[in-house]
Amino acid sequence: MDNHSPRSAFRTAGQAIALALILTTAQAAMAETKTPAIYYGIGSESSEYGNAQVFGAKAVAASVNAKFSVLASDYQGQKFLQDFGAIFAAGCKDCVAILDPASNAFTKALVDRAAQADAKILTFWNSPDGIHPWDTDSDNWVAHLSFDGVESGYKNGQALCKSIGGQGGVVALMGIADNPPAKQRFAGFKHALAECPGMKLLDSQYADWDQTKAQTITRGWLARYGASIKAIFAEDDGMALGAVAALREKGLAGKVQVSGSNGQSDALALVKSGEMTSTMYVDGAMQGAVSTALGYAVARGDLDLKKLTHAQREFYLQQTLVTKDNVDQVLARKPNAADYTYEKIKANFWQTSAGPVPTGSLK
Amino acid sequence: MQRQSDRLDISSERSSYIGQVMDVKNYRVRDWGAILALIVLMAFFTAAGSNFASLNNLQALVESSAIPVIAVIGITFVMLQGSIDLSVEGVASLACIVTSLFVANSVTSSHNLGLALVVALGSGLLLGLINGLMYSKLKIPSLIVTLGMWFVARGAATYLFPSRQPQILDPMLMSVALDKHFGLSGIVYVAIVLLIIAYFIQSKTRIGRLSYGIGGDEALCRLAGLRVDRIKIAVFVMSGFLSSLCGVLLTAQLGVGNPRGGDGLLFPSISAAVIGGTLLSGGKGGVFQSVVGVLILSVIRNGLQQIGVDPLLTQVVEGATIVVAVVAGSWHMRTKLRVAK
Repeated sequence: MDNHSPRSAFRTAGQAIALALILTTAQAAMAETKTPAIYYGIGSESSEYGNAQVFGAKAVAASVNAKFSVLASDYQGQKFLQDFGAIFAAGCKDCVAILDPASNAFTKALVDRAAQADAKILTFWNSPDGIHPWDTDSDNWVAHLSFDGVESGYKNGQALCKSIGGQGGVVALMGIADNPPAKQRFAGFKHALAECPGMKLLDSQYADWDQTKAQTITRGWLARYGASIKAIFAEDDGMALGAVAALREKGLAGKVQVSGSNGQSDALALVKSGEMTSTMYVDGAMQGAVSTALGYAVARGDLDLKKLTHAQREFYLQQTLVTKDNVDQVLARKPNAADYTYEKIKANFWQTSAGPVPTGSLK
Repeated sequence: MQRQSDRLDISSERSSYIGQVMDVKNYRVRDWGAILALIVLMAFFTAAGSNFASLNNLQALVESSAIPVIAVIGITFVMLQGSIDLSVEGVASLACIVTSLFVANSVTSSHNLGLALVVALGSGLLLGLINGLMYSKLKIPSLIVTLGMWFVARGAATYLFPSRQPQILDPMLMSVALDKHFGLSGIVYVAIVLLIIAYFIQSKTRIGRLSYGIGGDEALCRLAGLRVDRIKIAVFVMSGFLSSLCGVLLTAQLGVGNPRGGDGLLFPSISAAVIGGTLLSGGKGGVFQSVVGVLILSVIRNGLQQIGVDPLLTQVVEGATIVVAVVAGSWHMRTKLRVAK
């Protein structure tokens, strides 16, 4: 009976008001925390390139107070299917997933999962030729960004040709057989070979992007071809370093020309010392910053996906061929977090674009 | 009284069985198959490619086999006991990055080779000790313990990675890989010395003899009052130490600290041990047999490169040759080799 007393009626009313207040505050708080959460997936935390990407991406996320998390695939797409699958499981409307699917095979599956959770997704490097952000889950797949592997192979090939005076044998250390950057770089290299008839390809082997494997293969080549090898084309810097290590054992470092790709600092140091001829520098920090800013802009509604052109949704980022002539300039570049803010990149998201990805190059 | 005499009879029977299990000498003769396979492969590649038997190529072959030989020594003792050590790559990677951070390098201001060796090899000893303790005292299968340790060490290596590979600037460390004595680097001599020590441990010490015993019949060894746990721990410590030594030598060889430097050491080592005739189920084999296995793998890889097999086919040929080598070399042991039933 006590429940019906005026005192208890007051108490109930008071409780109702308090509850209403709490709900309103919570709603306001929820509206405020609608800032997109960025999930950034890299190949490995043990690579300079991965760390550089995280640096740029984190700086942009910090500039807008977005939640930022890093995931590493260890170059296994299956791992990302599981990790991002868990993130997407309960729906993820305000999430932005930015990742390298590690292989073409996983791109569509990851994009589809993001679309099911209504998250935004951006991809790097690996994407099958038949699908594009504008025709596959186009409301969720924001963009695909890459670096032009053909250009890397071609320009490094040209640098090798020049350094050996257009004459001599060359061997090629390739990455993993079914990998777009590996295939593109080799295609570009073959183009350079065709333009340099005196440079003859003696052999090519898959070293799976592995430093030690590259070293072992190079030892075998030195035994097989001896002084006929004038140059070694490596599809990335890690393998180039392995080749240089094998050359050092024979006192040939600096005498046999070596090219790489990616522009990691130890390879740049070798370009400076003359033990490597060239490498293609890709700016990981810029890649991380641009992709994060793009994803954030779409998730926040600052950019309307429907208004973007194909070239704005699938493009190459700029890269720089590094030789002895410009190595000091590249080495002097020190990434500064203040350069990677959302506001600065928002001024022109495509400032560092090197143009659209041509049809047929993503196979 | 009757009961006691029964027990005595059983224990004397078992003692003689332990004697058989630990009869190391008999196993040496059984492994001619692997050596034969190695000789056949070398003869084949010599006939097929003019460069295979050249001095330069044989040097390259020996250089490439040196670090895998060190790794396989450690794993052989573990496998003799019927256990497995999956942490090899993680421990080697950790030692690789630790070494690079303590010696003169392009990232940190440290340049202390002695300290680098103590910390790198010490971490290997410690992780090996933890593996051994967890396996022997907590009775957790070695597969699980060392799998976990693989990830722990790998994670620690990643954590210590200073966002770019430290270049090694220590001339003494680099000279181990670069200075040649009679055409071979210091790494090869380290591997040879370790092989001799390992053979001594295997055949002349309790650790070696009891490893065969534990692999053959652990329960029996325990019944005979032997201190099985101690041997198990010692063997895992040894494997951890050798893995970390591989990491240190890889640093010298690559000239940089790579937090994935040890990758690619584990499965070739296990395959090499099995190819050589060391059983996954334990009790049979030995370091020399495992080293023959390492050489078989190196010869196949190098030989295929020398005769110019299509790189896309290399792995297929490698795999097929391994199967043929194992079948030819261990036909008489095929039922014992079958660990997955």
